[in-house]
Amino acid sequence: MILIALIVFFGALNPRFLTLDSWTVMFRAVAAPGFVAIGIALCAINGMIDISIGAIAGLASVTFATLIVKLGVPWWLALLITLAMGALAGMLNITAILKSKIPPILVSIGAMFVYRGFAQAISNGTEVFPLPEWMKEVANARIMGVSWAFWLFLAMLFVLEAVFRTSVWGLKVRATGSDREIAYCTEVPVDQVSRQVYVITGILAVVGGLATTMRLQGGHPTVGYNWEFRGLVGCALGGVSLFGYTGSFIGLLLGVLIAQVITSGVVYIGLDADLQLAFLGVALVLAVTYDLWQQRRGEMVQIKT
Amino acid sequence: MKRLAVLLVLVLVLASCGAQEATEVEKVRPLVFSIFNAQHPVVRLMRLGFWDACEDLDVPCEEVLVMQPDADAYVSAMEQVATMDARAAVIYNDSEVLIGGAKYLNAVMPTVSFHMPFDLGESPNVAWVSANTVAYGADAARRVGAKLGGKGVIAVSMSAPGSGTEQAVLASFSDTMAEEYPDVEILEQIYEGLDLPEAIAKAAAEIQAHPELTAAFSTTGNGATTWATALRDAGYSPGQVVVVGMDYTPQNLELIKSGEVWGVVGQPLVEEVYKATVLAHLVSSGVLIDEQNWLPAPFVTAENADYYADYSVRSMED
Repeated sequence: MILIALIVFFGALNPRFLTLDSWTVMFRAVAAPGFVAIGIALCAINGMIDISIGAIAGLASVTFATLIVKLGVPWWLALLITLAMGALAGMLNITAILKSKIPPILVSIGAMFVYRGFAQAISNGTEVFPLPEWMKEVANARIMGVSWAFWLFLAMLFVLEAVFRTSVWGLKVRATGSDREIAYCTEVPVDQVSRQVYVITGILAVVGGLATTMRLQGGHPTVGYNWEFRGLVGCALGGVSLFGYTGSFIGLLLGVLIAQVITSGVVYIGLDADLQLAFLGVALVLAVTYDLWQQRRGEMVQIKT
Repeated sequence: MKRLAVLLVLVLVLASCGAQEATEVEKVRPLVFSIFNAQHPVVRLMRLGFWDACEDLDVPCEEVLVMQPDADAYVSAMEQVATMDARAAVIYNDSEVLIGGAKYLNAVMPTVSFHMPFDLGESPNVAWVSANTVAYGADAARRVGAKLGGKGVIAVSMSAPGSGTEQAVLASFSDTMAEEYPDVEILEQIYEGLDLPEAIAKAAAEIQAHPELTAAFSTTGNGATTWATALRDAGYSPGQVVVVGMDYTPQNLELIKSGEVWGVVGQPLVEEVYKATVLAHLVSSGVLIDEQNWLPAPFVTAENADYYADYSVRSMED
């Protein structure tokens, strides 16, 4: 509903906002940060939070490019190494949380600085380029006019949605996020489940980072900058609770699309650049407020019936 | 009387020893360079200018760097520099916000700033070195206006609010274009921010919203990549839209060579810090220096890109 209202609003002010080309661009824009948003949502449903995953995307970007450009590693090996690095980063994060008992947000803030620092150190703080020309061509490949990265993002969302609706593992992730102690008492291997979630999250961050790296034909240490916050906004708008259990991946898709529609829409309508952030903030608050109002209204109707 | 004479001689001897000692100390006290966002490709070029000057002057030098683009942390870094036993400081200063830190620093040691000119009445430094932002913004406008044949639509972007240099360049670009090429329309500016994919998404939105776009002008170092990528994604061929960016970073030079970017304003990043460092050395040695030091900013295209390639390669070395 909010998404439709926003589309109508921006489309009325600039009809070009409604063209297929415009949507192709927006779909592409949400894809790479979208993988990070999935990771944020996974952690949130599991009752955790990991804001270091944008930094993992940046680290993946420069690691992958450095392996290929500077060390001459074959692309497939570089890909495997980078994916393994993402999984390792996720594993390190959750291990630190479980062992130290420090709140996840604090651990992930520390981890974020560590990964950003590594990314700067590996890349010397600058672009690592150029990647082979064919990578740019692959990155620009489209399926039905839309970037493959978006289709992959979409496929990932639907697979996870199906997994969460039908599998025992999805139930375990939700149960752990709902109440860790109760889940533990009901023989859910809570630590193991959280480890799996963090490893998947790390890998998703790598996928997002690499989609951008191939598109730019080089590794950039700033890749992933603020993606975690965009992911959090997507979760908030998409009804993914940051306190565990509640949330769907289809909701997340709508959340990240709403955020992107607002971000791009203000450019389409030529809003004063200084007011764009303020507009974005107001629109987000209104969107979340409307969403909550709708939910409460639904609950009231259920009680009455 | 005799005792007084002996005492006088003693005082003179001690004073001369002290002076000699002070001169020796002077030799080892370093020149200090401080900047934030220290790993940024543009900043790396600036740092290269500092170390080139230190090598040529054969004086000890130190850097106090802030890695993040954080103005507040940078002011703290300047306060840290003030506590160091340094001869003089060379500092980046491109906004009024940083003047407070510079004032604090200049009260302790001679401070030469670079990258933005200040009203001398407000300038807290002994001198500044800067390209003429108004002049090169106007020059870029004239070149783009002529390239477009006096007609077209131009998108403009800058990094983020708060950069005095970028605001000055953009204002000069827009004013000159309005005055000399009134048939050229300039769109509402966009902020690129630090996240390159988001910057590209904004540029892509601008391209889709304005299919009549004929040129893009960015006042920030990443702008060339931002616009070139967004245009490539939108299916434009190199050169179809005239892209002008800022700074001769390695990637920008590659984009110029590939034809995706027509040119960049070559802010004299290496030269201005080199000169600021030499001035800091001179002023700390008691030499009078000019307070205002303008430097030219060349326009870099495929024709002269090779000249700047050496700078950009060396700036990436450790």
